[in-house]
Amino acid sequence: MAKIDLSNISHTYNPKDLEPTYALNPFSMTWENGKRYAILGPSGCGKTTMLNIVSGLIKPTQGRILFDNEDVTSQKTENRNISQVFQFPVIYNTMSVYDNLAFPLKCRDFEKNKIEERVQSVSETLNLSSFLKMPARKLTADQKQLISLGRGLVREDVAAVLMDEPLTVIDPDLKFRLRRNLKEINEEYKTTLVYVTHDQNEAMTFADNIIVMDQGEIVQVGLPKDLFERPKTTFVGYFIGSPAMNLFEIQLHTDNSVKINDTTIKTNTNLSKLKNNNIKLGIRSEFVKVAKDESENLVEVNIQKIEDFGNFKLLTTKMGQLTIKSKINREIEIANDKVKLHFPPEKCCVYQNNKLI
Amino acid sequence: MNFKHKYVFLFPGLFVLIGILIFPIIFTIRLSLSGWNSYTPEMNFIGITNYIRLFTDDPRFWESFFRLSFLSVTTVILQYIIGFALALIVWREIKFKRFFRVIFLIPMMTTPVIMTVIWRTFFHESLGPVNDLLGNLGVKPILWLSDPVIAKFTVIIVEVWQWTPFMFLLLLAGLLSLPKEPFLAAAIDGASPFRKFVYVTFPLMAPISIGAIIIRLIEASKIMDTVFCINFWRTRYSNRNFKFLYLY
Repeated sequence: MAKIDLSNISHTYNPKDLEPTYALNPFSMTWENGKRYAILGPSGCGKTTMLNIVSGLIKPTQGRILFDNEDVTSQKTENRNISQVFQFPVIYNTMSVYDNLAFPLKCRDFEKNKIEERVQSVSETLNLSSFLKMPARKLTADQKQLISLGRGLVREDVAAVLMDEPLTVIDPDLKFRLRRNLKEINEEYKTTLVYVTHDQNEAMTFADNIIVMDQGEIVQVGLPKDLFERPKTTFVGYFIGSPAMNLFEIQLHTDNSVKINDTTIKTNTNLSKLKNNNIKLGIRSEFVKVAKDESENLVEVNIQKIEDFGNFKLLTTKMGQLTIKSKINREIEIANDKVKLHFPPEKCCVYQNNKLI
Repeated sequence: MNFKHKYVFLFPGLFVLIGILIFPIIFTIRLSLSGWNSYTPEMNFIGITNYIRLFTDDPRFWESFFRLSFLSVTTVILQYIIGFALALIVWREIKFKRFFRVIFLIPMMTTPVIMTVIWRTFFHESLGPVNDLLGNLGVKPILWLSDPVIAKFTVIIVEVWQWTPFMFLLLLAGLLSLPKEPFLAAAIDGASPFRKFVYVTFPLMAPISIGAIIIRLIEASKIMDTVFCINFWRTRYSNRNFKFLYLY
């Protein structure tokens, strides 16, 4: 268990080129001991590169990595005392499940009793106790992934467990249970868990802190609630949430209001210092409601489509050329083609050059 | 499609298959059940008499069978060990990796008969450089070609030299196709290079190894040119029928 500092880290896979392309742009960050972090972003955004830098499988082009203030940048993976679980299960085919789980401890010359105790404890947590004597290769893909995970958790003193989309091969039911298990392990052993995923639901339900990445850049770090309600960039707004955040080109009107087409929308943001250039308004479809008795912040729209998702309805509406989506209670019946939608001012986010004001 | 058309299209392939594979096998089996003498020079059916003779009264067959087994198994094992070691060396990031990869392949590119003749010159008991070098080190001349036991090892040396590159090539291709993750996982688990080899590299290479060994065993069990060329100077064919070497 350790505090991990990433200090001014950046990485390129072609450092000898005249104009190297950076898989990871310079950033600094601290991962606190015992917390759960999720690194979230689309494919190719630099998530795995970041993870491999921490585990030591890649040496960063620039910057330092500190484990509990000790510089480990030049240390090899095996000396960093971390553990990593890969996207696809990695097991030792010739060994039994028990030997697989015991392997990291055997390699570190632990005593037999200690190995036995740790393997039993981890196998119980992961529901592998009844398979311990079986050859590991005979297990199913999700059980094999549990072994990979188990090898990561079997060492008590591990600085962090890094997981690179570990639940890809696991079926949805088990995924849910495993995420809960991982949380329990984190709470019980205070192990720092870092979880790479492109699935926002996984990230949201697993992590204390979510690191959102895009094109080698860290675009936002925060609690799931912050990412959802106050996305720092339009990318985060677009990437997180389903459907994506409603985003419109707008004109500034007064110090705290904007105009969408000819409709005035009040916001809680001070807009006095902004120039009328590439300004956008963002609002989650969850916060856009069919107006009842509100008198302000109303937009009149034409209904295009109503989709019933069982627990909610999704309205797709048009205001001129703009598309506005709204998640509404499924009991609400819409009788007309035209309807007024209400934008709560506190939920409106204003972006200039795609960055939150 | 019409039922009969299927057979029309299948026929050429089937014809070739029967002609070059199935017929020779059946013919060979029939031949093994035949006797021959100059009074009735035909395939006279004699039942399993030949097989009975093989198992009861044919020491020459068993002698050559065991000699061949010894030669092929020993050479293939040595080729596998050396080939694997060389492949492991150039698999890693070393200097002049490409150069070594090409160098290791050269023996396989040469014609077996020519190389055997050259090796025979090396091992020539009075004129060859091997005994000359050993002589400088104080070792008595070794009968590389004429001692029946040592000559077997000479054949093994030549075979191993010639065919290790084949093993090297297959095993290197296998190593290069292995996934990275198991090696990364082993590094993270703290495995030593020995443990990595035993628990990761070797098991992952098992299917490729089995394929390579079987191919080489089949080839090695047909060994003829090397043995013949190493020894043909001592046979009665040596001077008269030199031209047949061009067969190889």
